Amino acid sequence: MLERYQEIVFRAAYLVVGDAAEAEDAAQEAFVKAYAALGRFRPGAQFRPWILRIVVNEARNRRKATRRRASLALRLLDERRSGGAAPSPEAAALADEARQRLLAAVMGLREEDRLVIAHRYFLDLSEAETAEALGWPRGTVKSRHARALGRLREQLAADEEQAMHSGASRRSIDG
Amino acid sequence: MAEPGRAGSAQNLQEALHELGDRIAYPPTPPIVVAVRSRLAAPPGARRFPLFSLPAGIRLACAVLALLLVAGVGMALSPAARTTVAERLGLPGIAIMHLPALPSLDASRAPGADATAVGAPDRERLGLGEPVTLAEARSRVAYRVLVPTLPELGAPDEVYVGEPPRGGQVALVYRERPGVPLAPETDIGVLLTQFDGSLVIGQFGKGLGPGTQLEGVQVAGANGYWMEGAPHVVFRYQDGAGVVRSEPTRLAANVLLWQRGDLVLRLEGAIAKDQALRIAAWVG
Repeated sequence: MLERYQEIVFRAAYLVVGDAAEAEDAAQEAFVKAYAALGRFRPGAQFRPWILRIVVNEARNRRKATRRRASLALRLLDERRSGGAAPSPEAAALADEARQRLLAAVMGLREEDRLVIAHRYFLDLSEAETAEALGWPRGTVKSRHARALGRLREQLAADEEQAMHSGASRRSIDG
Repeated sequence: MAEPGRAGSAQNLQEALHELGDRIAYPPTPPIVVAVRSRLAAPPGARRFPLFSLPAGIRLACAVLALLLVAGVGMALSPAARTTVAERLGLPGIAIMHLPALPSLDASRAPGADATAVGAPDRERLGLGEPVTLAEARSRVAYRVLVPTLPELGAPDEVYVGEPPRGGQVALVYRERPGVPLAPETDIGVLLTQFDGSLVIGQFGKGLGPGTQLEGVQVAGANGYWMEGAPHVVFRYQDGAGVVRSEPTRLAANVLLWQRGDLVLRLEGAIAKDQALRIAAWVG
């Protein structure tokens, strides 16, 4: 019954610790606690954000405790575009580069902003669920969300300016 | 198609972020729920898996799970009764959890076998690690191994080195000694272990059964914890890398835990408190 939450719980931990073994440990801890507390679970309350809150707590504790502060490096899937018309190689390369830049910008955010982005966009949680999973008031989620988007836009604009000035322009996409 | 590189509207950026999220290369999801559930489902009388030789992550899950099973029973107590138990313990806090008694020491013996025929398999169940000499143990770990110097205890009969904990744990086993009772169902009088870590203070220990007494003591000027009637207990420590881990006690007896510099020391046995404190005071 709980298997369907397994992936999102594991991934939520992975986005915090960046290590599969640590993420697995944190996820296990979350499920163990979940099993024990199932009988006490408030009816009508949402299970998913509740268990995510446990695993994110676990994962953040582990990250804080680990003296070795490895920088998190998320990788993007190396994939062919799914569905639709096959893009030109130029378009594909540009899109990929843009994604890498966006990912780098996200990873460059401060931790709270990064957590909001990861929860809202990578784990696809709603604002309310994000608030519960992170244990923040909804207003805080809203403002951190807005701040994170603002920072990302600034960063991307700066990247773009730099790209233009360096003359490495390859803006010849066919419409 | 939204081009993420263009610093455009919020809409484009949010779409781009969603798209990015779809493309993150996560490691494959391990079968977490199955692992947790299979531990939960194991019937009590069945042949037991060697708990202590499982990877640390699974052991932690088992320990916490077992804790919660006990806590589930404890939930039957009224809130007032539970609070009384908690207050009675009253220590500023060492994270200690109680496990229900594991029949593991008996299960792998054939029925009808001589109950006193304990020996090498017993050590395996205790999960102390690899049998070595004291000199070998010293060469295997980075820290200076401390040894009890109490004359009546003499030299350890057996020495083991094992991992986890990270960095290696040295276990010293003392068998029969005059005046030292044996721990239940073993031929061990005193077990002393040490490893690099710090006891986790600040988390209140809960879930200890009413038959267990927990007391703060002083060992060579450091804080120590004495537990009597604690058949199976898990305590938390921070390992050399700063990660919090759980460590189960090995004998169904009394425990003295204390911190000496970078080392967590643990003395287990059916010995009385003053005896344990005396041994501990002579550890150097």
